Amino acid sequence: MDRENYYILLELDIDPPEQDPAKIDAAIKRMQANWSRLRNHPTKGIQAKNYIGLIPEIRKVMSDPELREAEAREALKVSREKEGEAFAEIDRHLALHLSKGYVSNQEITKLAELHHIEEDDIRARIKLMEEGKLAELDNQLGLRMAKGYITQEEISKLAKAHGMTEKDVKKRVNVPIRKAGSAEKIKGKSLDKSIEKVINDNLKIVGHSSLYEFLGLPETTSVELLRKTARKKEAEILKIAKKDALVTASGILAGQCSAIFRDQESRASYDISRGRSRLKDLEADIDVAGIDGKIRSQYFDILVKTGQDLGMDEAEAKSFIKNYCQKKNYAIEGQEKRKISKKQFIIIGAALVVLCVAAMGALYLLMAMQAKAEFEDTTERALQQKDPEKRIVIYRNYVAVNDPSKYTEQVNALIRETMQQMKADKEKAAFTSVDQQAKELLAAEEFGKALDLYKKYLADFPGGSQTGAAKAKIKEIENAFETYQFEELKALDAADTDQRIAAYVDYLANHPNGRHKDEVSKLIWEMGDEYYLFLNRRIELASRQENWAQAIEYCDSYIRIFDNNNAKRLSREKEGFQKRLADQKAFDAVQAKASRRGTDYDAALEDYNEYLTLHPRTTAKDKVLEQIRMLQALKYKSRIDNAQAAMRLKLSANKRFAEQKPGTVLDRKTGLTWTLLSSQEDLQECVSYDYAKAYVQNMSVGGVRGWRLPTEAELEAFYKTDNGYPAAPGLVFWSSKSNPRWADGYMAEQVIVVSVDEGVENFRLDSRKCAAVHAVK
Amino acid sequence: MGTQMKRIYGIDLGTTYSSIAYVDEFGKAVVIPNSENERVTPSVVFFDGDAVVVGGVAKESARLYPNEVVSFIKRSMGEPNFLFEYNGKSYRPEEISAYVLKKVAKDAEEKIGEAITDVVITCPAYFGINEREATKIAGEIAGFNVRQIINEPTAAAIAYGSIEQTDNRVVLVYDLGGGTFDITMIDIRPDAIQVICTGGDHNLGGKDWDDRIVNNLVQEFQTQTGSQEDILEDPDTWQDLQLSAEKSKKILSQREKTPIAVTHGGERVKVELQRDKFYEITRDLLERTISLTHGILEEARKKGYNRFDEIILVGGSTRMPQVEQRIKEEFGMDPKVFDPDEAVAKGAAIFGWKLSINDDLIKRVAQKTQKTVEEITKTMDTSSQQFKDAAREMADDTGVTQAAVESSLIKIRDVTSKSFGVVVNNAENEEAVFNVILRNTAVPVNAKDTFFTAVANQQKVLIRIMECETSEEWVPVETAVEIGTAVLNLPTGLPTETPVEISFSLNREGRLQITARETTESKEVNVVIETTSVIRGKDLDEAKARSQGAVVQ
Repeated sequence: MDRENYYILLELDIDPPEQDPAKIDAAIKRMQANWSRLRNHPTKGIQAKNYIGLIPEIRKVMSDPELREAEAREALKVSREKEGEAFAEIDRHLALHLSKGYVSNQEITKLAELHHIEEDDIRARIKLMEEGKLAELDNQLGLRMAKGYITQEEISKLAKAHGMTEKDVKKRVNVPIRKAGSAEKIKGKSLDKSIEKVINDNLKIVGHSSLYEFLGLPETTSVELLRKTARKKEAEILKIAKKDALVTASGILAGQCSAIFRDQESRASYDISRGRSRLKDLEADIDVAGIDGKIRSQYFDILVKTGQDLGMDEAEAKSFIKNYCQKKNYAIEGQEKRKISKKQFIIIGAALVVLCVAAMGALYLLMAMQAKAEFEDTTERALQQKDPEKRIVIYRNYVAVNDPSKYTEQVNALIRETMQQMKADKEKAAFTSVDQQAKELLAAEEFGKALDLYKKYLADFPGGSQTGAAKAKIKEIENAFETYQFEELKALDAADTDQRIAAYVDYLANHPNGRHKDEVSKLIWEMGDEYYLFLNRRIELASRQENWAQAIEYCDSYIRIFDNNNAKRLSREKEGFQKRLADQKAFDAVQAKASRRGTDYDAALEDYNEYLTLHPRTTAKDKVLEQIRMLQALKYKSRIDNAQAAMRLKLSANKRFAEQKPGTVLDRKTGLTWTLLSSQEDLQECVSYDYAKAYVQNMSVGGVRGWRLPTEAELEAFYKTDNGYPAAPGLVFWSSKSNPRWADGYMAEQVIVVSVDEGVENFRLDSRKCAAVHAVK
Repeated sequence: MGTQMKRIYGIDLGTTYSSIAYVDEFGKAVVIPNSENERVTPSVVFFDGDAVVVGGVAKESARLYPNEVVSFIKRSMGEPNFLFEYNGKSYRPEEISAYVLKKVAKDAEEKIGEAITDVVITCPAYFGINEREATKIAGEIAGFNVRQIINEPTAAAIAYGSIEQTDNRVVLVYDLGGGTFDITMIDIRPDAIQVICTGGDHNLGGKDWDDRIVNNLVQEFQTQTGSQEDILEDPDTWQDLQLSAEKSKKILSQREKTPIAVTHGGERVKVELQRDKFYEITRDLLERTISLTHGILEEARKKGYNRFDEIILVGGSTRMPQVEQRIKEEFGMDPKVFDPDEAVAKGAAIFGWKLSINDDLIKRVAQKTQKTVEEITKTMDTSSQQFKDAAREMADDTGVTQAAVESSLIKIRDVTSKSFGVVVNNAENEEAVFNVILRNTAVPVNAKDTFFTAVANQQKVLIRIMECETSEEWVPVETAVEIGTAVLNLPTGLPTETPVEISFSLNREGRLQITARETTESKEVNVVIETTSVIRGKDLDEAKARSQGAVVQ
């Protein structure tokens, strides 16, 4: 069960569960008033809103004896699980103490006090702790692998810590192993704590552990994608009309995502805050280790390891623990010596540095004087040169020959200056040339080419001195071009509706800020109905041809341009076409499948029937039914062909009967013509008398019509004499002799039927019963 | 001056503050101060024995009697399960709001010496059917004839349009109040005020900024004292911090930093809140308003409005300097701060005034043409000569200038902030909501669509009427709110896919009427959506009776 348990929420007794409806109702009312009061609480408000929203559901569950009982059972389970969670913390603290090999009675007493449980319970836990050492290794490996890789260094450390070989540890690794690890360092500014609280409170409501999880992205996602996803999420949430607590909390979180993932820096603050909040566990562990005011050296190592588990490197973890201990006045055993040696080292180092600086100072003065003379000489020589390129050569030589000094930078500046001047001159010349060429092109109304010239100029000399002038020219030409094109638009033939609208739209696309934008928009707007009618005719044609794709395209070409009632109508029509198109495609597919079945008509029929079951509302229903009809006809024909062939084979030795027109047979003995097949072979089932009458009247075999029911005597002469017509035993045939309304007032019609079996008398049969029929002429 | 028109008052029923206004004899909208001579009254209700205290005193009482004081009740309007318990009695949000309305009206009556009967009350544009209905009922419980519920941004635009009478322009009204945020694009013309589209969040307002400060103070208290206690568990401390937070927010609008004292359980901690810190911890809230604004601009573009001429800031929370600064940065134009606290009440008053002039004009035209008032209302054409004559006559009679009378004929067109539809089966045969009226459609609006029965010989059609936030035709059922249901009984023996016509009619006030008609035998059901989320029946009668007898101070 994901939601909160109502027994627990209402603070009702669980063991045994409260069953008194009056008490339950009172509890609901009490909590309803309580939550209503908290509705605008700064931190509990959204949760309260959530609970208020649950009230109808709570009432439902708690007033139904069955649901309530299930709720009570669940409550018991939940409360037991919570006890289990409490043990997780106790276990961690016990592990810390166990690291020295035993847990003292004093420690047990203190832990029992800390966790508000009996000392015996603590002892029971200690026993359980002996198990599952590998599980601990896996847990630590998991923490390190969570970043997507693990470093060799981490593996070595883990192997050492658990007294295992590296090879054995590696066996348990399922991510890439990297050589040098840059473990994530916790530095920089963290989020404001109150913001962190807002985020955590709301994450709790939506059931996520981080903003990353809330966005459904891994922690390694780029800040750009995070930002984009956050915006998308925000938009999605806005669309939900149910403003319950979940949605409100999601809205706040999405807002936080947008704010936090706006840049790398603020995202880093969030990451740091998350890291820091994990450190709280470490702080709590240090407090436990320092229960008696000092941290034993074994404890210290374990705490460092815990710090490393949280992503710190060893030095960081040590310094964190030491700082915390200092704040809390915990003495750390065996950690004092190293500090002094470090101080001494620093003093020696400082003295050496002072000496070196003095010696270098003297040398520096001498060199500075020489450099100045050389620099002055160079600049004088350069200035005598008129050609800037030659000046540059002189400067470059200076830089190449002399050691770097403050003058080098000055000479480099001169080089840059000279080069800039050269570049500016070149730009100016190029621009003059472009200007000249453009003038000629414009005279020939070649606007595009003229524009290209200026654009190429801008690309060749980005940020050059003539950029402004070139841009102004481009603007000027674009305006002229736009006016020119607009005039052309106006000249278009009024009859060509689609060309006209295409030209207008094209114009707007080319000149989104064109001066005639409004006029053209108006022209388009005015064509709303005309274009609609024009397209409607085309759509009608396409529909007749069942060219749905084309019809959709016509709809789109209107919808793309207009947003009016016509467009709405076309959107709706388009949906219809899309459905038809989809149906058509599905139909084509099933048709192809069915045609591959060849003469296996049953399989093909099954294909079509299956299609109809899957697409009960398909617009291709008529086509499918047509195919089914056709297949059924084919199937029937094939069966009849087979039956006729079989009958011909049976008759081949019998001279009495001769096939005349296909499917009809002449009885030479009586001179009567019969159908080759009786209804039994034709329909493969017996039929009622009414059906039989209609069947023979409507039948056409070999182009012959005018069939009728045979008489009793005709049937007997046909089947029951020498060389009689072959028939399956047990069959009875309807004769033409019927006795409507049998004498005693019984309403059913009785008909004489003739049995084909020798020695069986003809008898009367209720016309609604079933028999075969054989048509005669 | 001769005859007197019936006065209709405008009330801005806000999350944190409320106010009342009317149009004086010079045609000018004026806010009436309360008995404490304040122009706005805190929307806070304090149950003090048999008396109900509303306003500043109630707000201050929250520190001492946190369990007897209700604030921010507007945020719970339309929430059916919100219940405030006092002295064994339960109060719904509508009834508590009614006390606020009574207080502002009672004080106004004393100031101007006239009984207030007819009112126009404002609500956020973003309010749905439930919340609007609750607002109207609050007015009725308070004993008023609620003439209309109008949108706050529209009211602000009316007030703005009545002052700056220049050319046509498109205005973006950014209304950040105490508890709600509305963003609305409005086309103001000399003869018409037309809302183009609107959006917002009725859980985003100044209070959220206050809450962030409260959170920050709690953290500071914990850091400085080393305690892990959640001091907000204590109602006294919570109320105390809530008030301090609001005060310091206001100070930070003027100064760079402010000292705040946090006292709890005998410990006292001094916190200095810097403006930068305040910005940092509230940045996401401001960003949400910007996102919502972009959403509205996108909607406006779909309606052909690619630009706007100005941004007007309304609502007390726009006084925070970062709001103006951020908007300028985002939209590259200086927003205009327009009468943030009073514009809404004044706009409502102008709207009320317009209603009463209309009433009067219609009466006059009816008398002249010997038709009934209903007939005239139905075929009303305010540009006709009859109306112009009546306007002149009325100006003579009442002393109001003819121009003022005529200017009151300005057309106001609003849009719906929600989409409304029904649950039907879509092409994939899954349940989905099909919206018949789309969000941001101009109201009043009538829309009709035909649906079909699912099986042969269907006995009944269950029509589930839904409210949605998007302007798309099809939306998933789970993102919509069911606001009512109707059952259409069908004649027997109808084949499958029998057409059923469903018409939606949404009036200016957001009242929705549904008609479903089966076409073969013309069976019909009419439903006016009566939401289940507001107080009704016996509870309503009791609340009305209680309200009549209550002493509101």
